[in-house]
Amino acid sequence: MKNFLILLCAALVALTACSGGQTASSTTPPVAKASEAVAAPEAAPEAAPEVAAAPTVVEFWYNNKGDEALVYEEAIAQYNSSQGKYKVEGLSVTDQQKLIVALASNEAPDAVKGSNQNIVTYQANGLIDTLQGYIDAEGFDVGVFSDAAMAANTIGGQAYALPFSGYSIQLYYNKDILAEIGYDAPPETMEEMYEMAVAATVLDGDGNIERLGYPLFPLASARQELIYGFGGRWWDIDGKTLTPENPGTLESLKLNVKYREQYGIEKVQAFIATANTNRYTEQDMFFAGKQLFRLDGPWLPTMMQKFNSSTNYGISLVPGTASSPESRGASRYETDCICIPITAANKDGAWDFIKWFTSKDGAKTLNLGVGSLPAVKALYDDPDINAIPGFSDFIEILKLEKGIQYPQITDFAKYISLVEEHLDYIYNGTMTPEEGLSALAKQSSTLK
Amino acid sequence: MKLKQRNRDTINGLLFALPWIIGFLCFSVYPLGASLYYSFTEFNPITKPVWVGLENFRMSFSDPLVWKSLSNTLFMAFVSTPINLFAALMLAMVAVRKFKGRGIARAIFFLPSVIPMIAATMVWIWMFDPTYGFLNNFLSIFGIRGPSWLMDPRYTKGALLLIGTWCVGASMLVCMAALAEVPVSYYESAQIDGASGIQKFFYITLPSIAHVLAYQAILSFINAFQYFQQVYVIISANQGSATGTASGGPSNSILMYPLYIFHNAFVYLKMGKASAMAWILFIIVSLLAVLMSKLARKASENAGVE
Repeated sequence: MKNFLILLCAALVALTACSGGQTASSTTPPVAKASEAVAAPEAAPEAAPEVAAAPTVVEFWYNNKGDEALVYEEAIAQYNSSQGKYKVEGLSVTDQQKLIVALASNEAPDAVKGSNQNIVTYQANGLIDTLQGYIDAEGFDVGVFSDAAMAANTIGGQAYALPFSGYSIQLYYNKDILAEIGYDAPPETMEEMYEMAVAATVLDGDGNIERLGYPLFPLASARQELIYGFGGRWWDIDGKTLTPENPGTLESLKLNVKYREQYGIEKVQAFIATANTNRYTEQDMFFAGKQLFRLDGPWLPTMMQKFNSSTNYGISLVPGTASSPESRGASRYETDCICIPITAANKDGAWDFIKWFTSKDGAKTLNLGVGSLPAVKALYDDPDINAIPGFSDFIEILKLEKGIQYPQITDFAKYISLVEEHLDYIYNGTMTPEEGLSALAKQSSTLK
Repeated sequence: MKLKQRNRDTINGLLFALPWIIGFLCFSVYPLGASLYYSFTEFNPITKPVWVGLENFRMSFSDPLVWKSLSNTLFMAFVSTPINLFAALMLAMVAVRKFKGRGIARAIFFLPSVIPMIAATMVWIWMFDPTYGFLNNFLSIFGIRGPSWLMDPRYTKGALLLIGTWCVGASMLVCMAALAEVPVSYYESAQIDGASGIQKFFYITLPSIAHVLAYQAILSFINAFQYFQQVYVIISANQGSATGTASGGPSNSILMYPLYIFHNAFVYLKMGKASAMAWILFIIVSLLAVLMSKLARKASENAGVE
């Protein structure tokens, strides 16, 4: 008896220890839940019609949190109340690692929100399914999206995600500082911008930078727009060939380094470090009037409003150069979009949700709530969207379709890491721009 | 009859240990074996592994960032270990003394250790701010212009060492326990013989707690090879909006080996290479741990401690 009790206890402990996996699996298969519901009539025949009509669950993961997550939940609620066939359950997942593991397992959600950068990586690694089958079968009109937004999510002629918002980066300038140094209009060329930047830079008695003229911060914009304006490109327009030694890139970096050397590499780095720590806070350098130029996105005016910034700003196109005026306004173009994982259990439900989410109504809820620019062309002239500070300027810029698309290579993330690494060497003075780009070319030559 | 009873006891014992054994097999042995297999394959989380032999190891050894991250990690292991140990011992020696406010002092010394590392690092990022940060403002009192701690590659590791030294509370506790074990009679005899405080420290205290310090050193050394959270938080904060990219800080000066494994696995999705790198790390740490424990044993023997 004693032994029996011991065995029983041990078995119970073992079962308890192993029950973790059960919990996870019991939460999932939405389809299984629906089929269980369909099987119910045998027990309660009179309830059959209601139970059989129970909506199928569609799991949707998005990477927003806080107030933005609430906007997503609101959009999900709108979709759920708009039809009865599917019930979307949203989950905020900001951990990229968790998402990757889920995409690779049987625990993948049915729909995932990401950026077109993610789409390229996921597609290259076979993590997501093409939507082209659904688009062709239903004759779905992708012409409702801007060409750039659709192109950003199309790989090899196959659409892998549908966009609901897009953004570009353009030039913000402080009107008061510009007037103070004797200019009444923003620069149209990089040469002009440099001249203004030098005139606007203010140092304290120790040579520390109190006001930054040249837009070296944020670093991501210096890596992209400040180079695109010179006609520089990190990859070719074909989206396959890497061009680390592009002459425009070299020109941009030379001017970047010239400014750093003029005011001291360490002093510039110190300013950027502080700007980084205080980015998008009350002490943000642009909000506080300590930056003449800022290459940033459409969300900046809303943030300035939030922090009661009194900076008198204007928005203009990223300058081109005297020799390459057509580069004016060139910027990265990114979209927020939704895709279906290859291992999703309920792809039909996910597609139905995606269609609504990226429709005029669904996208408008998100664009207004999150403060993102539309990818749906019909929203370009929407009065509510245009009422958001700065949006009308950015929408006009979007219409120019000057967005630079990301390359569609497998090792894209690695290439960007290499670019950042070598830019660091150049910025810190460890390498000259020529040496840095040459080393980058060598390092990236084996990438696929 | 006795044999039967013993067998029954063995079976009962095994049954009680079964939950742990199952967990160990599933979550330790299996992943270990799987990662060894994956290190010889090319695969991402979704595709089937393709056998590539030693290619991942060859790629790892020819990747300059593997060497860079390894040298950064070794730097932290060899430099932070003695510094942290020294700081822990000094704090412990202060904390074991009897003085007014000892309890408060002990709490202050230990408190940083209970703060989650991510939160602590976020606070340090603000402290390291070159313009508004506490550290540079403090240095400016003495007329010193502090550097850009987290942007200048010459100072980034120094910043990490500072964060590490701030969190030595747990080591301090162990040292305090070891100091309490040193017989008072040793000090009394030394006092009669006219030994100075420094002599007592080097001839009594240090040899008496050498075995504990050696143990702490090995642990700290192994921990240094798992250096991840602090650099991940610092780099993410500095990166701003450059999502989807993997960085190692200014000029890769704080790219630690575990972080680079993470980049390969979850950013570049090269699970095979990441597994190979993990096994290289495993071998290095094992060899160094064996070497260190031999050295520690020798040091303890020389100090006359069993």
